[in-house]
Amino acid sequence: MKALVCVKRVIDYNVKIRVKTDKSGVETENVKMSMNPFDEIAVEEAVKLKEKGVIDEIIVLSIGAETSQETIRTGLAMGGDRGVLVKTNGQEIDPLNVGKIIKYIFDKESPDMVILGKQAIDDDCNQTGQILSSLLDCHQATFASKVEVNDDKTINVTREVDGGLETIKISIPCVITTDLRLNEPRYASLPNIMKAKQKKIDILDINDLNIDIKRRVETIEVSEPPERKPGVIVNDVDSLIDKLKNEANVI
Amino acid sequence: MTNKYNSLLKTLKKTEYSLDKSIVNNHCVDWRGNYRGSSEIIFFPKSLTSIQKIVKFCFKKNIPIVPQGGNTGLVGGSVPRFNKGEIIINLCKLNNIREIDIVSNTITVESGCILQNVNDRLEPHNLQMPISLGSKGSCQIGGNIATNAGGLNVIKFGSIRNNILGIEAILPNGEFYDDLKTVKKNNTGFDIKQLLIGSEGTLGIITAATFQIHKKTNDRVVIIICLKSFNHVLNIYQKFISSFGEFITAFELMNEFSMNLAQKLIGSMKLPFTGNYYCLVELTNFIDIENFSNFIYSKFEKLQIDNMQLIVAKSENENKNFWQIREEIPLAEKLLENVIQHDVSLPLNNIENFIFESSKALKKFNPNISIINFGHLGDNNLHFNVCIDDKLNKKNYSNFKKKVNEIIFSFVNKFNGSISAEHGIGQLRKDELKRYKSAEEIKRMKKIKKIFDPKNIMNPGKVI
Ligand SMILES: Cc1cc2nc3c(=O)[nH]c(=O)nc-3n(C[C@H](O)[C@H](O)[C@H](O)COP(=O)(O)OP(=O)(O)OC[C@H]3O[C@@H](n4cnc5c(N)ncnc54)[C@H](O)[C@@H]3O)c2cc1C
Repeated sequence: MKALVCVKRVIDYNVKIRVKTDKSGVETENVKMSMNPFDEIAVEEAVKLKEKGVIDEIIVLSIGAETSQETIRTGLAMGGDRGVLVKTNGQEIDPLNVGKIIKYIFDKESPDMVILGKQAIDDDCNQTGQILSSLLDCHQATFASKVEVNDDKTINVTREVDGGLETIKISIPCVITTDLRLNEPRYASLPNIMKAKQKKIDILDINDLNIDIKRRVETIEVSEPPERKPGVIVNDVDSLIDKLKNEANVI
Repeated sequence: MTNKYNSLLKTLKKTEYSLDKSIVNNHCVDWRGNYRGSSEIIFFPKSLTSIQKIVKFCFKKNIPIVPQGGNTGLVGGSVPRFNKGEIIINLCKLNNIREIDIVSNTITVESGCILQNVNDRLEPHNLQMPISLGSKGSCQIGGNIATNAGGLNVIKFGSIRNNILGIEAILPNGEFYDDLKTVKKNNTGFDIKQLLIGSEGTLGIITAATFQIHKKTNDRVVIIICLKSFNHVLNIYQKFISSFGEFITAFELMNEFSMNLAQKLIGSMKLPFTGNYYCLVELTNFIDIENFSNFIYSKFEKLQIDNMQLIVAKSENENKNFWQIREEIPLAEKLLENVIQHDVSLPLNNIENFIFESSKALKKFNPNISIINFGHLGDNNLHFNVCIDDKLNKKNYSNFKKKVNEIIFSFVNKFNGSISAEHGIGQLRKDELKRYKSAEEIKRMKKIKKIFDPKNIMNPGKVI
């Protein structure tokens, strides 16, 4: 079987986000970027299935500016086989349009499954997987916390739903979106990093795909949450009393 | 009792001192709980004039003074001795940031500022202080200067001494010492402020300083490497220095025993490989390379380190996880009884022989000894801590400790190292200093001390 895994380059989960002064968006200059954590889980799952002998090829796809190549390379260092970059000018792309682009690549590559994160931590849309499966008119399993491929190529997926777990059986081709507890992504190790350097990344220009990527959503304003007064952490009761007496002067 | 200080207290604000036993006692114990002294009174001066009043008063009446910062020092320098009539001057209320100059990248801060707070103030300007220590949330700038603190970034920015442009202080006779320059070049005779740096409170009370500050970037990549022998460690160190040079912001070493200890005692993360030594390398993207990981990967190719056991963090989350392994070692160690700590430094080329010979001698002395060995390799700084499984009573322990120190320090001496790399002398290493520094050098230090502090009232019983 063949898997298409989608990865997005986002502001690193641990970076303190700063809103641009004109409130048009968030500051991305000089900011650490990493692979969307849910996509890391998607790559890991594909690599695991490959190690089990279920999958024989993993294609790592990213849609984004030239710099997204780095994110693909990371996916390849984890065990992906080759990459595809659909190159944009860095503009925002709505989930519907992302779905259409993935479908374009799907039609070209005919994978048996598409694995992607349940959402990207930058815009938190949680739409792409669902939109994609309806564009492809295929089965979908969202919020996956366990994936098992059966001998007849059907797939049992355990989903994290409100208040419990649900296990469903789907058939290929299908779309699987990953949840946090599905697996723990491996580290990029030197031998794999070296191998990844030899792997091919195809670059397609978004303008050559004849897909309408006009935005249907307009961002009106991005603002920061109201500021909270910082607290202090003290080591023990004695230093708390010391601070209350000598710094806050309240007792 | 209090009337001894009455004439002084009248001239201070009520919040500038305390006679409350519980508060005073709190400040009489050091961080590790190894040194417990006593004092009648603690001062929290809010201004230079208040400090001057207190010091002049003490000078006149021959009252010994202990300058105290965040009290995180590890050698018993920041607490009074027992029943010696010493008073404490704690600087926590002298905590203004006087000036941040974002053109020449300098900051002038008062000595009671907590290191972390200063960094928080610099953050919006994308700037940072040149030092970073495990104790950053509690230690104060004055304490950092008085101990010439090292820490994690020495490999990049140098120790505190390399980053100070000016210092202001109150000398033991109450004189005001003002050398708060902000210029980088200043060759005008003897550089007296250098003596105050690392003086551990024995030459005067530091009240403010001007620092060189540095650009801050959050884009970093942490790498962990696992190696068979120390020889391999040196080899990889050299390769990294030559190809990543300016990007390296930390190069840390951990031996297998310390790693296993952290895993056993606090469940530190397991790594996908095992070996005798582990290195943690942090690379920071100071020049805004767009694809920093790719940049690093491409350098690996040229390094010819193909089959090395090495992992690279993919995200800040993994960066933090990798660092946590290193940071949990001292915490795990704290859970053990009978650990004898040494903070030594050695020329890189001698480290392997030092480890080999001193370990051999230690094992010969007692086969149940294990060595917790980690530290800032990039600064030639090793924490070489000895622990033992045996149950020892107090007397045996103290003999055991004496012998262990002797063994280790004699090899440090043999291999041209220093018996205290970054933590200082304080009370802990005072006797050893006499043994391992030449008599002439000690004499010179004493003469200098006399010039600054003729009545020996500034932190007596520490260092010399
Ligand atoms: C968890 C932990 C990690 C640490 N890591 C490191 C490390 O990586 N590198 C390192 O070098 N150290 C380290 N230390 C040691 C310690 O934190 C540093 O030495 C620190 O710089 C001390 O600052 P402080 O404000 O706590 O000073 P204190 O402990 O209060 O005082 C230290 C010495 O300085 C003198 N002093 C304090 N303030 C003044 C002043 N204003 N004027 C004159 N003298 C003064 C005191 O008399 C004393 O001799 C660590 C300590 C801890 C607890």
